[in-house]
Amino acid sequence: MIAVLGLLLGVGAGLLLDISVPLGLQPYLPIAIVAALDALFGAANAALMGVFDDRVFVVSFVSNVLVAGLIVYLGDQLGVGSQLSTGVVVVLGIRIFSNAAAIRRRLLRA
Amino acid sequence: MATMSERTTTPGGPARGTPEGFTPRRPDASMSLLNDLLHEPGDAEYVVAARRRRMTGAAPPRRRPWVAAGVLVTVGVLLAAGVLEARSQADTIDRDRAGLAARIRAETSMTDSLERQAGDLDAQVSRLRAALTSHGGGGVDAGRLATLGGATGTLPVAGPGLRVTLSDATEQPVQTTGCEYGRILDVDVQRLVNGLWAAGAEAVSVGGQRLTALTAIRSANDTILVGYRPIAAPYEVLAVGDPRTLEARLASGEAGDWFSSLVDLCGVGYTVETLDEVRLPGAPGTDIRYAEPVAAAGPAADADGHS
Repeated sequence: MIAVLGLLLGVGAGLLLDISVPLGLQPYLPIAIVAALDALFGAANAALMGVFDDRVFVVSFVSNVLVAGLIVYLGDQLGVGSQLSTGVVVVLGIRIFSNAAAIRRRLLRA
Repeated sequence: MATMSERTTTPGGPARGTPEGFTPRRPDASMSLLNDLLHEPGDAEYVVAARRRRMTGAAPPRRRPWVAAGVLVTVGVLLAAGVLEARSQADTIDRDRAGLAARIRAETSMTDSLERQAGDLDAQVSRLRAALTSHGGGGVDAGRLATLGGATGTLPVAGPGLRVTLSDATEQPVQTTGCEYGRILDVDVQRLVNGLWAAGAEAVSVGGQRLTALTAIRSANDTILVGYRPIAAPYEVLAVGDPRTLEARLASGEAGDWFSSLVDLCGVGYTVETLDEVRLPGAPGTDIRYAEPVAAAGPAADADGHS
């Protein structure tokens, strides 16, 4: 409950404050969002399993976002930024899907 | 909780009994990336942490909902910022395109007005020259000037001639190669104009643009440019010349062959009409390249170099 409220609060704050991302960070924003979603789904699944641990959540969120950003930054420096972005999105996408499937199995038993 | 440890065991081997759940090297270890992706749940960190607590007998984690809530607020802000960013980028692209289109229109109308101005000035020059000649001064051979102006394309001309209309095919041509989807290309217009000159045309205009010896007919993307001005289909080509021979010589020449095959194979439109009178404008803004004004000592400037 508090999780959903927090998420909604964040979205509302972001929309209201009209945050402008610095130009240099713009390529990393979508990747950071996908990485954050991955951490979010992992946490939701863990919460349903009863092993949720906020320390792990914070660490996985921060490290996910940082590592994803770092990989894309490295790719940009090497000239393969778009390819590495695609790779990061594919890997995180698979993880999100498998987590979503686990949540679905747990909630709906289907 | 007992089932938790089983969830993390991978097909390679059991994890039980080894500290912290690390398995010994598996035969398929080189494919561990794929295995991790396919078999390991995304929440492995939580399971590992839970198992470690059980091993070490540590207390279950204290519940600090504000920590998780803080992270979630951050995620929400990120999401909102991402959506806003993507939208504003789309807006920027739209704005850029609209701005470019407006600039193109403004520059085009600017060119139009400058051309009108040049035409007015040309007319003024002609009037003044005529006045000068009628006063018997200047040593200008008015008849020769008119002839040269008509031949070079700087002066408007009128007379009997042809109107040739070229249009793109209305439906997809049967023949697919060499037809360019039945569109009229710059080379087609070039062939027609060359054919008209060869057939004895004295003056030619394409799409209202009078041709001089230096007028380029070319294309940029899908648009045909005549003298760097875009013209639109259907392309109207006017030619002044002997009406008795012009049409026949055009049809029997190379251009006639080219267009009859284009019409047959590609379905483009090609109509030739003989008219009693066609009027062609003068080409605007023709530079004088070789003539120079004579120094003040000789006031009788030689304007014959007007090319």
